[in-house]
Amino acid sequence: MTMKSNNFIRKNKALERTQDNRKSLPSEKNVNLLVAEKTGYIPSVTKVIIRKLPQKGKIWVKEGETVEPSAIVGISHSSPGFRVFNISEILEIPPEKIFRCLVKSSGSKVFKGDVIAEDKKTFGLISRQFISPIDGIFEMVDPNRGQAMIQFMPIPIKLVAGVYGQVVKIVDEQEVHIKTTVDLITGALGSGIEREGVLRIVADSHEAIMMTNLDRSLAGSVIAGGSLMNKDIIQKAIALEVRGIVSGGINVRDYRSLVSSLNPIEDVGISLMATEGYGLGEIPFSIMEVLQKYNNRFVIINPRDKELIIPLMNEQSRKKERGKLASQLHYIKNDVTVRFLKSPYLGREGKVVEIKKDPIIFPSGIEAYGVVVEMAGGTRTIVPVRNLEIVHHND
Amino acid sequence: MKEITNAAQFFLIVDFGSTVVHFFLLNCNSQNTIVHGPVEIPTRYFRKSDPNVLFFQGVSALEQSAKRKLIAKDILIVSQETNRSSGVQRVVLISGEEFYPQLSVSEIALKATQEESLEALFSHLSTLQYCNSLLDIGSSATRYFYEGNGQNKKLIAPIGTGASALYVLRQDAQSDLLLRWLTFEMEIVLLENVIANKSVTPYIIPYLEHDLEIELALVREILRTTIPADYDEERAGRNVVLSGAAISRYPNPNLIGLTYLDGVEPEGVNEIYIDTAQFATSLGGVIKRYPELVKDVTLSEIFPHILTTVTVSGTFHEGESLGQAFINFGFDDNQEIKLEAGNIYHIPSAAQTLTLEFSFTHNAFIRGCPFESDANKSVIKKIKTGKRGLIIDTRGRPLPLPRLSAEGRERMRSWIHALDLSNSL
Repeated sequence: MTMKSNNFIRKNKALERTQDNRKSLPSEKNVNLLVAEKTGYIPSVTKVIIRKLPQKGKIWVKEGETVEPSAIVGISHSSPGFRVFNISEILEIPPEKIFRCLVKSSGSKVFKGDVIAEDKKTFGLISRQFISPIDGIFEMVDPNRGQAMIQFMPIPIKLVAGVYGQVVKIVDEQEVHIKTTVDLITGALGSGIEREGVLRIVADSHEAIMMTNLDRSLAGSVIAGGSLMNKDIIQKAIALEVRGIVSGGINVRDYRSLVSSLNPIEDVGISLMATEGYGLGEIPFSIMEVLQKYNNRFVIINPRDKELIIPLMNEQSRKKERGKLASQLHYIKNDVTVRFLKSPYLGREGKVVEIKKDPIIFPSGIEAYGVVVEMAGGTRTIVPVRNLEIVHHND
Repeated sequence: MKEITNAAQFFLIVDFGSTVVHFFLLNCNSQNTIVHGPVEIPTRYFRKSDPNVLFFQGVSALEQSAKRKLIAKDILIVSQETNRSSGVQRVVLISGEEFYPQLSVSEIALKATQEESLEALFSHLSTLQYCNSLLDIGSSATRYFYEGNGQNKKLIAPIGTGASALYVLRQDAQSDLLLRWLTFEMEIVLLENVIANKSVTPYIIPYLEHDLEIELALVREILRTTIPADYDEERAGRNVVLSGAAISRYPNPNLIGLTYLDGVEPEGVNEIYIDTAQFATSLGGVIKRYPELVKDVTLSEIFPHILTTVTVSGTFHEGESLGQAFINFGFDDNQEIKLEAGNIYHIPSAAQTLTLEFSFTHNAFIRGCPFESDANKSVIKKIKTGKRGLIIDTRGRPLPLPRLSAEGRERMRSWIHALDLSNSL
């Protein structure tokens, strides 16, 4: 059988099939022409934000209460560690004699320089003292061996609401669930745990983030921008105590060098979100605009759900709340702006100029519904409908 | 479409795969089996819209292509009566539990998971001795069902060609391995990103020629890394049904045969059947729930026999002469092929039973096919060829893998060229 005759049969078969489809399905109701809307930016979403103390503490708000972003909703104390001392050895006395030498009782607060224990010899002329080297809480651990411990002074950790909203649930003296309205920026992939900080734009959407874009002033922030975050940038950001990076893309090779398991829930000390996927990918203009708008605002990066949460202020929140999300599917039409989901045009946008009514055979030999898309500069290409998403629609 | 008999059973089957939802209408009657579909809708669309609306749009599209009324007044017509000219007798939903509460058909539908559907299908196929292994290379997992030591075995590897493709790249070395299956040059970083992005957007269609090559390279490496240790234990060949998006949508089944040979390195005589409509899971779901109703399904139409492969084993080097193969098509004259080590020979003899006689001059043999006599090292074997004929593989085992060089790419091209004669079934 020659190639020609086989191809002829194939095309005829395709034609028969497409004629069937044409008769039966009006193009605007053809499921093969359904396209998902690009959901890179979702404004005014009602969301329950979980604010969490690092450990159990005291919650200062009640269910039903309305909170402002700056409100402190809870407090806990973290213990940064302890030091162990052997008083028996320091004072050169047997362990059983320690109790009569103690100046501070077990459980009491001590400050650097305080005398904790003192042994006076030769009618008080010679004295040996155990002086606290740190601020903390003194505790006897093992009187039989003469061991004591000073816990570093607990550091109070105040939990700020971060968002304007209503407290809907309190869990275990540790979590405060606040129902609020947020703007969401969703990405293609995320890695790490949820972190928060002030959003700082460090690069334009079309250029890679450079080392020179990063400095100490970014500590504690979530940085955004650029079409690529590479391994060196991520490592420098970790060293600078940056909390998160939102960028267009990341090479899987760089990602693997940081997270060898490629498991997105593994945390490397920084949270990452790529809006476009693996490889070089320009952050779409529409998303960059939103990021610019919220520059220097408090944000939460949630890599598990691949989203950047931008809590809205009181006024904005009231104005913009709109409840349920509308359907994000549309039948493709001429003139809609679409975005390519696959290389060689991954992330680029263009306008639909022609909808093929019948399935066509693509260069790979695969048959699928296709549309002609015109990109900036006039370049036209034909792509499967399924490889696109809608950026702007007229519905 | 043929006449519907009184005993016809119509099944609406909706397979909620991790990447794409497939809608099928299966018409089983005493005379034949007709499968309508698939209608495909990406699974993520069900999360972006009302699943029930989308479900009915899928059924509606199926209704149009099957020319059978399935919906009346926005309700799916379901009736136990088999002589009706509209509607279905049964509804089978496979996986997709998250959508059931929102579907207005969930009350009347019977459900099955993908794994139990495929297991039921394999059990059915092996009972009928249609095949002795079933390989489903899915988007999120690769599933092996195979006979071994008189038992049915299974292995589920959590690596697939879509949603879990990223995990193929866990090791640096894996990318080099993938690269060697390509006939064109590509930057390794780019290849890695293309594959990793398959896990981000697994539903996209590989529409460029290079896309398909990358997809088959991925299938090869998935097979090589996940194949069960005892899969080819008996080394005398298998009759295998190949399923999965990358397999079913591939336009040239000859290259699916080559991919299987490269990925599994089977020896002996193997018959390759392909699930051309991606119907395996759906049929399995029906078999799981209604085994008695589909016992007469015409398997050869659903899983056609595409290729038969014969692997010449032994210790030899590329370019060495291995002897001759004489192919008797039932006529007086035999076709003679001079066999040289390191090659692939394609005999495009569609669905025929032919006699193959090998006369080996070197240390070569075919697993599972004893010599007629040790003196002349000849093997005579009756073989049933597939729709696309027969492949004789003299590349040796273990397979000498193509190198990461221009020479390696040339070698891949020559293997593909040997099989890439035409592009359709």
